[in-house]
Order: sequence, then structure tokens, then C-alpha cells
Amino acid sequence: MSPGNARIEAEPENSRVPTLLWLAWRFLPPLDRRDRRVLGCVALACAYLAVPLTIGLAADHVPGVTLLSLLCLSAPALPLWWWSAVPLGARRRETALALRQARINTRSAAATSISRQLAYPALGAIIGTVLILGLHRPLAHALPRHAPLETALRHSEGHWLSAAAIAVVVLVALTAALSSERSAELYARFRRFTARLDRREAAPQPQ
Amino acid sequence: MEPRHPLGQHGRVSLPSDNPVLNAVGLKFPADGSVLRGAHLAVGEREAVAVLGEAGSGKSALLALLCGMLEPASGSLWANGRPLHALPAEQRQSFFRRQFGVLPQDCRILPELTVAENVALPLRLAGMRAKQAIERSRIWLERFEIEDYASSLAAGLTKPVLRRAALARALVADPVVLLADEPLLGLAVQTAEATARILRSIAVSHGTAVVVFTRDPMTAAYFSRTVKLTGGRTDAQPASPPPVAVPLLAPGGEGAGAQLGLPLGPAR
Repeated sequence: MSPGNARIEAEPENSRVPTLLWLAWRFLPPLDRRDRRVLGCVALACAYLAVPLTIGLAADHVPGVTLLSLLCLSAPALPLWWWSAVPLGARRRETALALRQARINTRSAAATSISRQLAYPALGAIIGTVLILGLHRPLAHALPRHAPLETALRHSEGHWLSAAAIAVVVLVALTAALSSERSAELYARFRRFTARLDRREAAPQPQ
Repeated sequence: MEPRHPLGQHGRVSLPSDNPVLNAVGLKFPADGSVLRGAHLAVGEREAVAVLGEAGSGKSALLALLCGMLEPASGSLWANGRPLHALPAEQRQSFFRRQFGVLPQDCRILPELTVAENVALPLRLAGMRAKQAIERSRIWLERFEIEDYASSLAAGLTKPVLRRAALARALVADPVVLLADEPLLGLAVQTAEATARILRSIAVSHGTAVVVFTRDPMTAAYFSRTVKLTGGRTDAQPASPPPVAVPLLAPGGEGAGAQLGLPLGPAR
């Protein structure tokens, strides 16, 4: 068979959908150890952040002190979230570029390459929300009365499922924002700034 | 016979083909002509042409204009007998996608797929069954002498292998015109010679017009004709009879460099 007889004249639009879905599926598994670490970290950060976010969204009334405690509870996961979201976005952009070079239009390339950027934060967020859905009652009982979180947990009957769904959507959307090019620039600038501080500290002191 | 010495090629006068498959006449970009000011290029069927120019001479702009990534401020572009400059934007893009193969300098291969799957991707996107597409891709992998890597994931393979895989991917759908930006960059001399030989043979056996953009005279020497691009002008004459130049929509003028920085294939 000669390769020459393959000239393609017609490209039916609907024939591309299964291929694009297959590509999106193929992009999901991590490629190497570094990739695995990044994807694990983004899922872990989203799982952790889903807990305070769901509590905050489910509560009927969030007093200032409760809000502050929820923010404090979220703080440890924020650096990990940013650190892992930046390479996730870089990888998505690389994939989209490779897809465009393989004769896929810009919109389809963006939609196909986003699969892992949706899947891992969503998976982490779902795990986090399932955990808090199962544990919010025991937690409300375990916490001392008048504790800031106890107030939020106690006044939250009936809103948990919708709060969990919103929390997943919010975390996926915020991960996408954190993995944007602008965020990557900010992250690089921040890293340069901290590296400069480190060097300054390490400089030999005058005698 | 293989051209061995580039200097012999440089002295050759660039003659336009009698019956060009690709015919660009007086391409200007942007409106003030600061990047390209009247570039002519005519490439015939079964012809492999090198466009030779220094950095900043307008090679990338010419490539982007020829593959539809940018629109010229003025000039005309004919491909396979169709006046692309007169077609509506959507039809023009559709034509570029089906009839043109593009190898950008910064070519990307999907690391999650095997080499054969990468090469077969344009065929699968065109509706061909996976098995048939893979079989056809293997023919191209054999031509580029990388069939041993067919089942290997692209992640972790060397750049020369990936570059040849990208070339195979650009050719697998059998385009009428292949535009390749520095296709031999980073290849060892023997591999570069073999790749150039394959490109020339594809031009002859498939009737594909091959246009290679390079700044390396050694690379240009591998191809049958060299068109020099200096300061946004080519040394080629417009092909006869010259089509009437139709002014196109002004592309905005400014920021050409930024637009050209995107090493994209033609968008679908």
C-alpha cells in the first residue's frame, strides 16, 4: 500500500469526537514520577481545602471569628495548591499546542487538553467533600461548645449536598485560575524574590 | 546525485516553476511592510525548495502567511489552482487544514501517546479507523527509519526521533504542500542527509510541493532550488502569469513578532 493514496478530502466533524474523547482519556494517567507528584499534590490540596470550603458554604450564618478560623484552617494547603497548579497549567498549554500542531482547532485542543486539569482537582475535592459530609455530625459533637467551627457545623442542616457540589466546582475553577499563565508568571516572580531573600541571608556577614 | 557543497547551490538563479502548486505573489506583512515587503515564491509539483534567510529576514512571517496563520496586508496566494486570497476565511482555513502539512520549528509530539499513535493522529481525526491509521502511520515511520520506536511512548525519546516523527505526522495525510521550518535542525549529518533525501523523494513520488525554511546554507543545499529571503524580499520572480494582487484585510500591523512567536500548526 502506498502512503500516497491517503490524501484526505473530507473531514466529518462528528468523526472527530470519539478521537478527542480518546485523547482526553489518554492524557489522564501521570507520565513519570514528577508528574505523579504534581497530580497527587493538587488532588491532596483540593481535598484538604474542600473541608473548610464546604463547611463555610453549608453554614447558615458565618460569624467573623468562624470565617477567620476557616481561613486559618485553609492556609496550610494554599502553597501546595499553587505549587502544583502551576506545572499542571504548563502541561495543559504544552498539550494544547501539540494538539494544534496535529491539525486540531484551538477550541477542541483546549477542551481536550483540559481533562487532567479538571480530573485531579475534582477527584481531590470530591474526596474532601465526602469526608466532611460523613464527618460533620461527629465533628460538631466532638468540638467544644462555642468553638468557632462548632457554630458553623451546628447551623448547617440541609445545605450540605449543595455546598459540596459548589465546593467541587469552586475548587476546580480556582485551580484552573491558579494554573493560568498569569499565575505562573506571578509564581516565578515570587520564587525569584524568595531566592533573593535566601541568598541575602546566606551572604557572609562582615567581621 | 546528492548535493554535497552548499556554495554550488547558492550561485543558482531561483526560477519559478511553470505550473506552481503554491504561488505567492508580492506578499506584504504587515501593512507598512516592516517584516515582509513583496515576497514571491512559486513551487511546482514534485519540487523541493529551500527558503534561505538570516534570522529576522522574514522567514517565519512568510511561513505563517503561507500556512494561513497570518493574513497578508497585500499580495496573492494560490495553492493547487485555487486563489486562497479570494476565499472567505473559513473556507481558506479548511483548505489549509486539508491540503497543507506544517512542521513548525518548535514541533511538539504528545508524550502520552506512542510514536505510531502520534503519527496516525491526523488520520484518526479525519475519520479513519484506529487500526488502519496505525498501519498507515507505520509506513511513514519506516520511510523515516524510526519504525523501531513505533510502539514506544514519545516521552523520553530523543529530539531527532521526535523531529522525524513530527515530519511523518505532517506528511501522513498526504498534503499537497509541506511547509517545514528547519526540519533538519538538531539532526546528525547522516540523519539530516537521509531526512532531506526522504523529503525530496516524497516530493517526487507523491507530487507534494516541499518548502523548507532555513537559515543554514548546508540545509538549503540538500534541496533542488534555493530562494533567498533578505530583508523581507525574496530573490525569486513572480510566476507567470502573475495573478492580480488583491488587497486583503489588514492584519493589524503591530505585534507581528509576538504573533509569529506562536509555533502553531494551522488551526482547524
